Amino acid sequence: MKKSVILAAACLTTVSVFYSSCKKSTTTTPTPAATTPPGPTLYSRVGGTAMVNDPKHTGTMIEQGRLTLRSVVDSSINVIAADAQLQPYFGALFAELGAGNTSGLTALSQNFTDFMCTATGSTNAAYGYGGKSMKDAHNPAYNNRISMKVNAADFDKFVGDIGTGLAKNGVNSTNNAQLVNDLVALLETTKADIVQR
Amino acid sequence: MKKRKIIKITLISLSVFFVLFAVLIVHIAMVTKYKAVEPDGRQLSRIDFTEKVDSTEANKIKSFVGHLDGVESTYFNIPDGIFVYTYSLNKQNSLGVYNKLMSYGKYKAHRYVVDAADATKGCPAMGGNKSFILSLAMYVGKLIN
Repeated sequence: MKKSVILAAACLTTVSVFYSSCKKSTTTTPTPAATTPPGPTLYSRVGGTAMVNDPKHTGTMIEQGRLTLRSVVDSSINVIAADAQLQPYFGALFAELGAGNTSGLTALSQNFTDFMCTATGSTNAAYGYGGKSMKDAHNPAYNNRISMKVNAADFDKFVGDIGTGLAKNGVNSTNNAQLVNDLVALLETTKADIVQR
Repeated sequence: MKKRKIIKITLISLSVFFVLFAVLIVHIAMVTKYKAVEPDGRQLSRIDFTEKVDSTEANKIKSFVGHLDGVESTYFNIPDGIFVYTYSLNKQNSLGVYNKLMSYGKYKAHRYVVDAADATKGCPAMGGNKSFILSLAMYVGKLIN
């Protein structure tokens, strides 16, 4: 009797550990691709898989598509960081750091670039986005890094700032309206998940 | 005799449990796509101007700060008087940049220093908020990859 009780307890413990570890989040990890129009992917239109020298890491190569997106992301981060309306969401960006610490800036740049690479059609596994779904990532109940839920006005401002970042890299509605529209449309596909207030 | 049997069964059960737990951690490490952030020591800082700055002056400020050692990029939100810049932590610091800028132009401006509470808040893409299991899985992932 005692033997079976002990074995049963061990099995129950094991099963509960497996169950809780494999518990799914409320939403699936996104494949954040907009409705793909016929023709080349957005990723190929911003440079694709052609390998070029990485200006930030001497001696290493990077896909042109990722380089372009990273430049846009980094420019956009500056615009967003200087945006008083979006300040409540990005306080940690300005936290003073001690030597040897990786700032939130580096993580934001890398993760957002990964997201854009995945969303625009990159198939390079090294550039894949592996973070939380947009819904979970922007819900304080599932992510205590975000202080409050996002409203529509702030989301629209964020997209506008990305547009400014794009313009700082030489792409605007005048010289490449289609690309701007497609990128904005891509970001808009995440609105329903991100705007929760 | 009975006591030895109970101890034996308990030990076997615990062994099986730990083996399965280890398998689970390795499994999570292999499927988890979390990537380590490259430590490049970049910092973003901000200076708020309380006086009106026109585009000509803004360009002067961007140029001056942009040429300081270690500064990588600058941006000036002219309507709101907010100036941000990125730099390498190994070569520059925000107080140094601010002091040099104030010596250059004697502007009415102050450094934006985030308080401790706001320093913990940020866009989720900035990382953080890893669970214990994920942290353990990442550690194992580094060992096996």
